[in-house]
Amino acid sequence: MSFFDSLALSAGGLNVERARADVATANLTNANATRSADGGPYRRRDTVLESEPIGRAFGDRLQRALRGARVKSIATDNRPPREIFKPGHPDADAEGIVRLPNISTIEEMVNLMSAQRSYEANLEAMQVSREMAQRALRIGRTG
Amino acid sequence: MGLIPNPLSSVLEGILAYQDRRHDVISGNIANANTPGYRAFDLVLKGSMDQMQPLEARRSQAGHLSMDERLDRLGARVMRSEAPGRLDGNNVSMEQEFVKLMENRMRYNAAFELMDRWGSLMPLARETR
Repeated sequence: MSFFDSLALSAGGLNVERARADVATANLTNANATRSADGGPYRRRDTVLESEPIGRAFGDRLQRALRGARVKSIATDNRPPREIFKPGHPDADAEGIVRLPNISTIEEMVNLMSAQRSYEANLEAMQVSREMAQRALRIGRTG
Repeated sequence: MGLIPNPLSSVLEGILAYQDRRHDVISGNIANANTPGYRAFDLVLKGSMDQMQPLEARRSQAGHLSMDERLDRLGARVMRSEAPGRLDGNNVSMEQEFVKLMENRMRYNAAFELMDRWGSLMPLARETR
């Protein structure tokens, strides 16, 4: 009764959801940043996820079908920035237009909540793994 | 399993192996709940009442390679869910995976209970001879 596979899968899931939560939080924090390290307004970030085999080259058919989740990369959203007319702003251009990050607070909050819920589900799966493994160790012990 | 009369022992062993592996599959589905394009799958017993999505027909995965022989003997098959995916192609239903997670754990515990009780009956059987 080996639970290493399910623990590895759940751990990968936790990492993925943590990355999604981090990215959503960064987007929320920088939602009004008109200046960023690359010049220009902050650009929204997004996680790119993929599933990959968990590395059991010699396992049976079922083990080879198992897929873990991982963050492939953090992508930059290239949609055009939001423009508002505010001539007095320090970052206003010649026409008085200020370019702001094109971030929807609602969208980021929804992503954050989804990441949290999925994180908790992976935690639960991990706890069930542990419980099942411990149950196996208690076999034969009555009373 | 020397504790238990033979036919029952191999059935129980098979069921425990099935639940163990099914737990891996469910953990994998939960981990990939947000991976674009990922399709949920399950390990089902022939004729089992665990219909994942009763309204959708399920296709079994093609493949002539076997699984663990205990699972093969039980008639367990890997089934991929044909539920419609969301916008990104992912079709994992967190609610269903959770229900499966809980049910699987309860049945796993029940199988162990059964094994333990059989084990404690054996010395008693010997004494009554």
